[in-house]
Amino acid sequence: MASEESLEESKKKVYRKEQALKRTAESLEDDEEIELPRKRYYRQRAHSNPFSDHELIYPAKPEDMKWSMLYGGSNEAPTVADVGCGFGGLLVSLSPALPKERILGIEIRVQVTQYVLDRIHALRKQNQGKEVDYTNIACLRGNAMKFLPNFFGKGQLKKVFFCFPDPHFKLRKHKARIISPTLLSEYAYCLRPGGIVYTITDVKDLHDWMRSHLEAHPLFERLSSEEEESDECVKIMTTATEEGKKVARNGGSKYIACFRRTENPK
Amino acid sequence: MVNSVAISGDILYAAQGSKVYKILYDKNSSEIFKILLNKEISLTHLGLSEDCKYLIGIGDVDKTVIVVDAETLEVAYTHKFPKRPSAWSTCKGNLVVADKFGDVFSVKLTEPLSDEARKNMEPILGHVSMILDVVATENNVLTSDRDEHIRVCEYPNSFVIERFLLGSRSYIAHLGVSGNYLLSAGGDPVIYSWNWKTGKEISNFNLREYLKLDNDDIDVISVSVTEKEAWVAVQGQPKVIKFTFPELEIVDAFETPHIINSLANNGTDCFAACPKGLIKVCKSASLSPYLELDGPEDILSQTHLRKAPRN
Repeated sequence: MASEESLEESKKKVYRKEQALKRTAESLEDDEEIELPRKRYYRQRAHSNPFSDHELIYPAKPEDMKWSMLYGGSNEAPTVADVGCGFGGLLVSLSPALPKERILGIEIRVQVTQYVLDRIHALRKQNQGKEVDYTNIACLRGNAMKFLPNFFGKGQLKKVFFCFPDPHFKLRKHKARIISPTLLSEYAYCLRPGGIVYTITDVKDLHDWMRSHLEAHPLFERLSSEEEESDECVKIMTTATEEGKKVARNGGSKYIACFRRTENPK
Repeated sequence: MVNSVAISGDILYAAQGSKVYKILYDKNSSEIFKILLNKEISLTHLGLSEDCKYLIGIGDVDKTVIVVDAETLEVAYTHKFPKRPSAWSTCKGNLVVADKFGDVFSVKLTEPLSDEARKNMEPILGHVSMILDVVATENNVLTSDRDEHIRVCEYPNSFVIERFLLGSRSYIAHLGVSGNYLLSAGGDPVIYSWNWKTGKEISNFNLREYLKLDNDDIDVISVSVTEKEAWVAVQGQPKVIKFTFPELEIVDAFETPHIINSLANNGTDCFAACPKGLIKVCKSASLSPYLELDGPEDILSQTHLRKAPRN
């Protein structure tokens, strides 16, 4: 059994390595057909400890970031962030919806990040020259709870998404939640006044937690239900993510709350 | 082990093991250092309140910050916090305390909270990583953490982050503020000076090159900043380096007879706590007045701040 497992594991490793090689070695002019990566080779446990020192690569400051390496073309910085982007479903759907914005997914799990990179690479290749060519989405491995200000300067972001975050049910783990009173100040720093925080979860307790902390924070105000309902990004967020689809398949509920970054008090 | 020193005029305070000493410095006397008082209190991170009425330090046990009458060395107030404090600062009668959990709390210096109020204490700001130093000024709080960040928040509206001062390559254990200028130092071989009000880096200085050390693992153990000067001590080095501030040009390097744990200065003279006593930093090591403070050996628990090197 053990050897079978390791055989399976090594198959996955070989596959992921091949995909990564394709991504780096191939130039986009190459004629060879490219297939979308298969998710089963990239599975990784859902939880990650945000407090530990992962071997992360991050710029010392936002000005050091070479965005052109991720997006190609200019060095223009992203204005939309998907924190904990998972397998990248939201990124892919947001790409045509926000064609003028550069969108960045941040994911802490190595293999999941690799999947998204391979997915974006394949999509770009398949859609070269088309109207939607996926050059406005990118993904990197990172710990957003610790290093968001390394990537994003003051007021750089217009939108931040938190889709189906890890609920961290245990009380002593609540500090590990991606929304907390003290972290909200960091998100407010990266967001420009008028920018929007989107949250969605299938866990009622977590929804209440996120909503109540955002409501209590002096720099956020909730969008009206009309605004939430008419926001195209809310529709996409509800239907496009892998988690969102899973919840729908299982007949679960989805709880949504969106907040606007207000001006700093004088 | 003498872990910490503080000064107000010509009165020095030193914390050693379970004792705190009050010492008179008189360079014209035959007895340059005269011990005036000592009391059994276990403290680290000594410093004085703005009005110099209180000596403040982090308690050895029970997650406390202890406020001591600077005259009598009697404990005046004991502030208890949810987690072990790692640094503190005072401003306008407030005591601002950071902890290893990454949270910062603000309380009134001379009004300890009731048990009930303490349970409901909310942090005024927080980092996801360990906070190593905090400085409160009239309108701002500056914090530094193990992940190379210096954060400048408004105060008391500490939910408004004004800016980050970024570029350090290791943990930042020490912040020294004078007016608009800030000295930052820690595990980076380079120390930095900033205008923290604009976010502009003013200058930096490479200690590793200057000390001709081979490895990158330089730990600055203490800094002491005045309006025009900065004094810096590096772990394991019997030496205090004096800079102009904020330009960070070397003025002098003073050899000391022992390695240094902590620095303090009163605007004219610089004093250093070394493992077994107190030194007045002087031109030459042999001329430096030295006061031995004998006591039981205690081992300071060292927190591991440096991250594992990347492969």
